[in-house]
Amino acid sequence: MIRAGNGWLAVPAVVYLALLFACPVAAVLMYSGLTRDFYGGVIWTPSAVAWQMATDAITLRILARTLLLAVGVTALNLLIAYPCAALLARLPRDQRTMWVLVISFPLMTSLLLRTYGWLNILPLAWRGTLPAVALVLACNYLPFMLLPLVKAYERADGTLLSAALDLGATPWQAFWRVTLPITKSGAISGAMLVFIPVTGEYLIPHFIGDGKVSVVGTVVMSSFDHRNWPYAAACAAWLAAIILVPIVVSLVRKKD
Amino acid sequence: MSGESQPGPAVELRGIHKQYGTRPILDGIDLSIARGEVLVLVGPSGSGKSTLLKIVSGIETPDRGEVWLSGRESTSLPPYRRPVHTVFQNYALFPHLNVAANVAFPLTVAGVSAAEQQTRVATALGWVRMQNHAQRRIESLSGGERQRVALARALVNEPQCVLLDEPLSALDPHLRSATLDLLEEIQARLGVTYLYITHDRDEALRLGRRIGVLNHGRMEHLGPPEEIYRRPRTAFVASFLGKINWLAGEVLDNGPARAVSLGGRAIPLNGQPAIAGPCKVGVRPEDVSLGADGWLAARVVSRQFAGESTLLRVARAGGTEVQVDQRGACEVAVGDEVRLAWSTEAMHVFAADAEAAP
Repeated sequence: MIRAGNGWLAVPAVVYLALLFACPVAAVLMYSGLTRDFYGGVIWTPSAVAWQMATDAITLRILARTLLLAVGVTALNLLIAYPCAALLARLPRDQRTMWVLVISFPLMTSLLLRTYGWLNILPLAWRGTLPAVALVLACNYLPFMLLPLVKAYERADGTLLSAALDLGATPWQAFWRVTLPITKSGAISGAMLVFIPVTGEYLIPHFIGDGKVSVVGTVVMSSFDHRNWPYAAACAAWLAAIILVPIVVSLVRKKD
Repeated sequence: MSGESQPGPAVELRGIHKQYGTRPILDGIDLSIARGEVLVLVGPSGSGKSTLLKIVSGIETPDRGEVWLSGRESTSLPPYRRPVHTVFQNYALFPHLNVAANVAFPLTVAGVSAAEQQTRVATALGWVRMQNHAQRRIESLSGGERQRVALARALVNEPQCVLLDEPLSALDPHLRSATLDLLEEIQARLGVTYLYITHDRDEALRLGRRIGVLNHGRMEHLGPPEEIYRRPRTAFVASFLGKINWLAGEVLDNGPARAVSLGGRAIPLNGQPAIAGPCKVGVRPEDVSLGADGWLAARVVSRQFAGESTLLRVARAGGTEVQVDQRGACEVAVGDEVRLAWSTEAMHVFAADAEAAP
């Protein structure tokens, strides 16, 4: 047993977070308040230009589009993953493991290869549209939604659903009043695992979006190309703030 | 829901057949359970009793045959439209709801008003003496308490019939007896119908007004406990519901005076099944008496005093052992030569190859 009072056990985690999370975030924030160097990097004089750009209508629209995309992909994944998880949960254990492997198998191939593959599958007219980007992202992130959900379904063993039906609940009522509340924590973990990385995605929006779908990720990338580090840093900070707010709110609410 | 005007038995099964793949699970079950009756289905695991319960509750559908509930043809009715509720072996309480919300579940999904739910939940929790635990979380309850909550939940909207799926198998032995008392008390109070399945012969004999013995998907015997115990229809039933000694014999068919030959003695048979040739004769340990003029000679091998009775093992000349359960005073000692006797009614004669319970 590890005693809660043994603070030394937290040292590796604290060092890791300080070095690889807190310091880079501080650096990003700092860069967003410095002057752009047209040859790359920054000039060490304070400037508000990057934040003026990052709060104008164009950037705000890009931010809104990024959030819409992330919400859409998460919702699409929930819709696909719920019936899949219900099916998988009913299989015997060894078969379930096999299918989970099959579903995660695409993750083991190169992301670039997979994305080029999609370019061949998608109808030409869809290329460069937001829904096409959402579709490819959804397929890419499905395992991250499915795996926690399958775990949650395993907790809600099948007799609970039988019990709900037996006690007079219609299949819809049984889903709404039993399955959903019990699998909620798995769905939330899955949603976090999908939502957060999708907000920072740039490769799939870049290729599938054909340069016509601007999201925060692609803007940050092109800002590096244009040697505008402060603006890229400001966009990244915006994104981090938007993601952090709901996480902090949910943590505070859990404490109550 | 407790409509006295509705005709017919609470549950009626007609020619139920079910198989998984090529393996038959239920092979032609006919069963009728009267309103307010307590019927216990007993059988070893794999006998089909759980499947039968699921067919009544609607979780499974039969391949052939009909299910009638309260005089209504219900074979293809989904579980949520059937007037029966199940108490599951593993309780199947909803972990995200507290005790009161679990018990209220059947009322909630039926759209009963919140005020009425509250009074009916309180009443149901009173039946199982859990009224002081209404706001508790399920994981804070003991096994016995969970079982009582599951029972209250199955009873709260007064179903025609409550199906009990081995409800005591996960409980400690000392809790089983108390829970059986509670089940009997509630049944007497509400007049609800119980269909109770178990693999435990003591539970079956104690609770059942009628007992059905299932084996290999067939109903081997259906009747009152005394009949099942005293006049079992098959060797399996005889050995499943109590201890029994099996002795190899042969039926001598001499016209009207039929007899069974056992160790060279011809013991008359009256009213026993009409079989001929080699047979197995079953005698329960408590039906064997020791006396000077018994049927068979044997020697006492071991003697074990158990308070209200004395358990003896005696060996016959051929080496076969017979268990004897002597009520009251027992004067014999190990090594004594004794003679074994029993009444004709205590002798259960079946074909030599009849299947007995292990």
